[in-house]
Amino acid sequence: MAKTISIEPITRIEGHMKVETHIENGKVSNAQISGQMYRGFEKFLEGRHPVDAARIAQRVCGVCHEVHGIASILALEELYNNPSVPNGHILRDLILGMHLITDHLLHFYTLCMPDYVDFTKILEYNGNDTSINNLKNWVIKTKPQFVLKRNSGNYISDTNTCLGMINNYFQALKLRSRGATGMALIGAKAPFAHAVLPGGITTDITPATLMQYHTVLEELKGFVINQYIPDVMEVAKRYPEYFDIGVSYNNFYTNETFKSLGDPVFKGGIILDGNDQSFDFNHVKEYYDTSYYTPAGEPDPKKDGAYSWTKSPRYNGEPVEVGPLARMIVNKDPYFFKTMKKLGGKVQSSTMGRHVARAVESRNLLDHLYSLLDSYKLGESNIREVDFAQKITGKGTGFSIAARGALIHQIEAVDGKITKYNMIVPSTWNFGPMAQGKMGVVEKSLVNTPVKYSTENSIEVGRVIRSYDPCTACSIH
Amino acid sequence: MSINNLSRREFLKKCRDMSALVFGSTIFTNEIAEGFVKLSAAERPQVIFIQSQCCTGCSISTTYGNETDFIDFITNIIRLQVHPNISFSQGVDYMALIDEVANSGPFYLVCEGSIPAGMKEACIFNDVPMYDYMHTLMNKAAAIVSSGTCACSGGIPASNQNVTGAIPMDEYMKRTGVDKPMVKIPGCPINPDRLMGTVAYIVATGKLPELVDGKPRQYYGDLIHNQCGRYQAFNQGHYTTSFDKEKNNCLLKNGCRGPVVFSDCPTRRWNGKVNVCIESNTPCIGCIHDDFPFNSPLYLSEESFEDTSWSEMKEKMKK
Repeated sequence: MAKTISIEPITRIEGHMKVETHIENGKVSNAQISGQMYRGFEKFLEGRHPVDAARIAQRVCGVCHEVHGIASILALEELYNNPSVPNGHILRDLILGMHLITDHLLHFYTLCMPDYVDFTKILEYNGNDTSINNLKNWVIKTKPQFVLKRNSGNYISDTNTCLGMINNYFQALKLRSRGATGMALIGAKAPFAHAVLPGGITTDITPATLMQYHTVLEELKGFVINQYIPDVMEVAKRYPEYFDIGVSYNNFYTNETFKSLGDPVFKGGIILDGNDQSFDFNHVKEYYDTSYYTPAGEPDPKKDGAYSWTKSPRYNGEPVEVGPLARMIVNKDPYFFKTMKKLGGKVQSSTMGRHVARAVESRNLLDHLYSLLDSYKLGESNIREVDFAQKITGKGTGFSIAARGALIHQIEAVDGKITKYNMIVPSTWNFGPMAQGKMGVVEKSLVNTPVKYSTENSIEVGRVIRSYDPCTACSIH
Repeated sequence: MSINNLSRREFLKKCRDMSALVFGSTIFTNEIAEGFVKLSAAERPQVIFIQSQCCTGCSISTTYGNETDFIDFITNIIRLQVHPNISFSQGVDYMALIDEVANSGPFYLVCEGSIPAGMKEACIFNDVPMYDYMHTLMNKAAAIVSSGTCACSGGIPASNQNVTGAIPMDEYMKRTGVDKPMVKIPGCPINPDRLMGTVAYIVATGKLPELVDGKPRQYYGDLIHNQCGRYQAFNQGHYTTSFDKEKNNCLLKNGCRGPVVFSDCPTRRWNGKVNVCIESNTPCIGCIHDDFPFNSPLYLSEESFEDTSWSEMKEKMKK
């Protein structure tokens, strides 16, 4: 018999989201995902000074906090016809790369790990490790409800594995804080680097800055190599079925990024129906079929048949998945393919594939960050600034990435004022609702997800949703 | 010893640190220590985080910490019970958790984001507009902390044409008749010390710190300009004409809002105290100001600054 399970709110994601699933024969047969919060960023920007977009569009999301600033800057640089100086590019990539790695740590440990690891195992610890004992005492004495109340499900339960991962759960928080220090050294602060302006970076970079950044990078590398990657592998080995759960349309797209040293770390491109193609922006269109907008794009919260604030971008009418997995598959990353083979997972859209892709990508990015540090030229200019007083008229588009996937910002200005601003954001691609008769990417990938452990809630659905690292504030804006 | 896992010496050091953090001096160490001694770990007041029209940046900033450490905060200072980005439960179980905690004893409520009053459907929480839900939770709280500029003054969601009719928490409380003590911690995002320091103080002493316009005086007592490391450059009239070539000049003519923003940013700094906007040679954009993000351009280069007096200039920048 069919049954409906509605999960609202979905926690451990950014923002407000609801998912409604129909369950038949113990599996999801249909799903609707609603983005539940709207602010109107594209409207706030209209009439403002173009450069203000760098600071305001940046604030669309506080989780992917550096990526929108950078995409916005790229659009502005095209508008002002003023690309960054080489050092500026390098510094921006140093911020972006560190941000992506720490964002992946946030995703795997803080947001996803509680779906896989039994944290109550800490109560069984009898050893002498002070930090684990402190945590154990904390749980016993204060009974933190955010930890103890959890979904029913199949957790990893052998004590040693759990203890290691719980320890890393807290370590990851510390490492993210260190990563933020690394970003702040260059960008002034994190979240929201203010030193990033069209043409480059305002900060005076000294050898000490680079050395401090290097120290952070070393710490991050240690954690990624010794803890993060092994932990992802461990979870992947324990849950091999998730290499076949959470399968979307298998269309993938990414933008070219990290190109300050010439060859990009990620090539751009799109895979549709298994065919590699070059990406043509003219084929991208945002639909509002089941979104709360009028055909003209104005908000219409009472629209008939609509169920989400998220729009539905489509490429030639097709839903496309974005994210680290898309970057790995479009780029045919050899290390990723090798790792998947070792784990016995098929290279396709899947819950566990997305986790593995993030881990592999973090390693690749670490390598690149070291090269970037080596290529920075002390003493050369960091910024070629634009004249803010100029009454600029024109257009610009910034193609970049967020941890969650391909990101586009578009700006149009007349006489020094923004007339149109548009963002096409990763979570919009993934979490957009039904359009043109086709389910959104994540909706589609929920179909066939087994639901075993609860009649009102579903840890499995949560796992699939979170594997995409949803960011509703970004996706709706 | 009430505070778990700490020796007496560590405990007093923690209280000293906290006092220094909230007040810039250690004179209140004893008051804070007494507050903690009275509370056993299990009695420590509970904290619930709730998010409305926000970007989660304030929560993320909190986890980054600065002088304060987030793990220390949640394991040794408060009893964190509910946080949308961290709680292990979801859906019905998460809603049940909120109810359980809210009905189990005193708790403090940390609110992020603005509330869409003009378009209530623009923020839905458990099938109900946040506008209709939030006040029921607020009415059960011992005190409310507005975290971030959106919650304190509307921020970006309330800017320009304010598409959703976004309002800050104090306005929302007025409209829905919530009468609870409230403290504002503005900032886009908040500086972690200011949130954790304030909450720690409230938890330890059971009262709000000294406030100016609803904000803790310790953090928001003086203008950025007055504490600025480049004050001498301003005095001598050395202004930045090129971000590339001049790295130590006053940024006033590049739009710096230091002269109208009350905040201890120059000394508090960010992310392990490594940097702060002006030191990075980028003007303060006033993310703590009630009018942020302003109607005027953030990076204005107004020629009229040349001939105006100091007080006229301040007036001009307020707009």
